[in-house]
Amino acid sequence: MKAIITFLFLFGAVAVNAQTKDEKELTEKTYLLSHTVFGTKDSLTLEKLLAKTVSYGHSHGNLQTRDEMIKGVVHNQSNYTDTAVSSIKIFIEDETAIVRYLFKANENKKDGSVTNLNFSMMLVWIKEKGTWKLMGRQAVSVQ
Amino acid sequence: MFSLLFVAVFAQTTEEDKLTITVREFHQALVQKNTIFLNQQTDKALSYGHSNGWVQSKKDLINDFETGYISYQSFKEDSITVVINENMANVRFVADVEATLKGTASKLHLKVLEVWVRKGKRWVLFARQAVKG
Repeated sequence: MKAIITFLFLFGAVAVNAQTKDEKELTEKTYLLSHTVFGTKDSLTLEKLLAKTVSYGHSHGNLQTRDEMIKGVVHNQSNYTDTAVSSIKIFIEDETAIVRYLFKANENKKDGSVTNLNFSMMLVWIKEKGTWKLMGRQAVSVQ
Repeated sequence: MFSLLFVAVFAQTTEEDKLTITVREFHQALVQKNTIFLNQQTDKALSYGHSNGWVQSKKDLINDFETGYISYQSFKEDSITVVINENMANVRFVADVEATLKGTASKLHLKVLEVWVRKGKRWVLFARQAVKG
């Protein structure tokens, strides 16, 4: 048993170390963005995450600027339950990064209706003054 | 003086103009299955996302033309906007595309985000995601 625990610990440590500093920051910020958009809806967090010239594309094709996106999230009256982020893939080219992942949730609208969300997400991050900022986002429905 | 300035503005080819030309050439290369050009104009870490959630790697993009898995009969882009930030650019546009996937032809109206990165003097495609519009 002890051997198994040691093995799991070592394996876990190796798996964590295999991520570069950039990959770690991008993964954390991707989770934070998702958690903020579909959870806390905190505008200050969004202001920190979003680059000035971000373009934020929804699954129906409508596009938002930085201000529109933040207002949209803050005023969104839906609640999201059973949110799940999976299959994160990160591609880094110099100071530009692409993060792709799958997102599932139930959207509980104010009118009481529930919609099942199943999205494939693409995020574009750029490094500004040593920190990654969201420059683009495009969601696509995979239902 | 005014007309002089006007001419001066139009005579200058901006980086945005240059990239717009490359973007259009890239789309026509998809139709022509010009895999040499597509290979040159794409980053090795390319991820090319379709409106149904399917994502091709660079290898897939090239191979799927060679095997005939996918082909494009026409690709017409419109309303291109280019936002350059240092050595990367977000390019958004709408497109009417006629494509054949596994022998099934379809006409798609797409809204697309392409991410291009600058390598020296050239722009190469790093990522793309389409959504039905």
